[in-house]
Amino acid sequence: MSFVEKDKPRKALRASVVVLLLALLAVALIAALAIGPYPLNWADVSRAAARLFGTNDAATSPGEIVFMRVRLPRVAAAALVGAALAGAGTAYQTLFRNPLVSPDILGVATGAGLGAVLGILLSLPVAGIQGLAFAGGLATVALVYLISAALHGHDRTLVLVLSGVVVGALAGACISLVKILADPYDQLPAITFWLLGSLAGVKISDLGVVAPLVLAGLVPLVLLRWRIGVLSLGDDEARALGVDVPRLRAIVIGAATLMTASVVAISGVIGWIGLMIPHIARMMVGPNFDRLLPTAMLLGASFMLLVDTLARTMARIETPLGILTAVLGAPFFLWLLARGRRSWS
Amino acid sequence: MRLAARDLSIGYRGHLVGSGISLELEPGEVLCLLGPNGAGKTTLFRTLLGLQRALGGAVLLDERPVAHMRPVEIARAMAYVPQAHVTEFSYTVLDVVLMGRTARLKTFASPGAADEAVAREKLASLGIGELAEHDYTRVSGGQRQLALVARSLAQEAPILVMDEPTASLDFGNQTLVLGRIRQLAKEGYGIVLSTHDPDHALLVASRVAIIADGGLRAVGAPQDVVTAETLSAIYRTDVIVEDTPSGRRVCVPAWRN
Repeated sequence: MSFVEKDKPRKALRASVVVLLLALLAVALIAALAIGPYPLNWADVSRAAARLFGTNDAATSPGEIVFMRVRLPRVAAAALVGAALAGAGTAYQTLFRNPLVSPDILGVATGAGLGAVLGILLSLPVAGIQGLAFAGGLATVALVYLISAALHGHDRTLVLVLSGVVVGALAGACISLVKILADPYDQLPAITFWLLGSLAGVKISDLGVVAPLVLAGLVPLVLLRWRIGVLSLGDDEARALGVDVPRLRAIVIGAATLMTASVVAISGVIGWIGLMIPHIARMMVGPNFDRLLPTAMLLGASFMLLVDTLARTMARIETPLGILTAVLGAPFFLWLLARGRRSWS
Repeated sequence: MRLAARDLSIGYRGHLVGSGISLELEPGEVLCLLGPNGAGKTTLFRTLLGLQRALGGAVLLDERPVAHMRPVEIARAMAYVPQAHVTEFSYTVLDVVLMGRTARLKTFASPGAADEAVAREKLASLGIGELAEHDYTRVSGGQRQLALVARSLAQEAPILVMDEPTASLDFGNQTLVLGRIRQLAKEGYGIVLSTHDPDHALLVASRVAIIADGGLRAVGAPQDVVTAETLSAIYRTDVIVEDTPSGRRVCVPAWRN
């Protein structure tokens, strides 16, 4: 079982887990800032910082520009995307009482993909593509939710997941159609690249829009953390324990969808993180949602920083993030299975 | 607090399970529900708890219809003890009991040290205090059932609704749970429980209700309701109810060795 369970020193262990995670995030941040096709050093960083505080009037150095315009937005975006996907995945796994659920269980990623792909087909500017992706993700989940609400009298969780599968398949078919219609030399590579995820084009202004949206999704999850954990007992028991299940479920779905759709709009589709990271977090601190959520978000941020650093340094061209997360995630998951846990910790 | 069902019809849309059910539960009473498989005991429980709507009639808590109460109000009045199950995630026993505190917490709060003290006290009162840090999915079925009883006590509701609380227990744990139920009734809890064992009704019930053939077949004191005729009819097998030399009443199948 997870190592925190050997009773007495639980609190001390939990504290050390927090310290470990924060240290990991700090290391990942520094590594991600320092490593890249254009090597940066402390002088660039301190010059950039000094300029922010108005104590540097010298001419801007190239390193400084790379740091402020490229590296910093990208690193911040990686941390944000990783934290948001891991947080949304944790919420969905708890809500659906299933450790194999990922943030796109209700079709948010496929819907966002369809929006983005349409934007690329219509040759919209980047902001237009991002806006369509965001709207597509939200609209898909809203559609899934309304369908499942209309089919009352059945097991609500099951109907939600099945509606998600059906609507997701439809959106997937539409994406394929757009790919056929798209210009094969210009638009199709852009579509393919978007669907595999990348942070290469992120600007600091994107973060100004996306970070508040992620925060807006995160706040209800943090406030309602205890009740969300109670939902994992199932609808009847949660209700008998005093939880307003339909309302809480709607809030969790709305919040997790908002977080996922916002980050997917700037990063493209990045799989595995929302599935795998909550799992690792659960092994570290147990299944209680109030401890699981911050753990998963910290881990998700660190993992995404690592993956994104690899993506821009491994080869001479950018490696799509979706490929890296799958290549790292799949063997890890098999290793988890091979450990032969009787239940999901 | 008094729980009452008035001319209740239970079931699902388009499928009536039972009708004309009227029951009352006073503080300190143990009302035991007997009935064959599929008679609607679970449906009745779900309706009493407000988990599903009544098709007709009403469930009342101190004359207030449960249908008009918020989940948190119902949870402060009635605690539900489901049949022992395995959770998807391996919570500790203490975690599971702490979830019983939910209706006592503010909307945005998590349980604090005081709640943990209550949870540990309830575990200790059921004799499983040392299991607090154990993995709920890995303790025995009987221990899980006791943990769920502890959770209902942590909820601090005056009425306990227990769905076959002895179903998964060995003889010793059955006796332990039944003894604890009697004691809780003496402390003033009103308890509704279902069971498949008429002997358990004779051991703990102050009143017995029999659910069969789409309605309430009999309700009253155990010695009046748990009779050979009634049991033989509802379970469709010959049953003998007799008094033992030690002054106890027991139910046994009519065939002899």
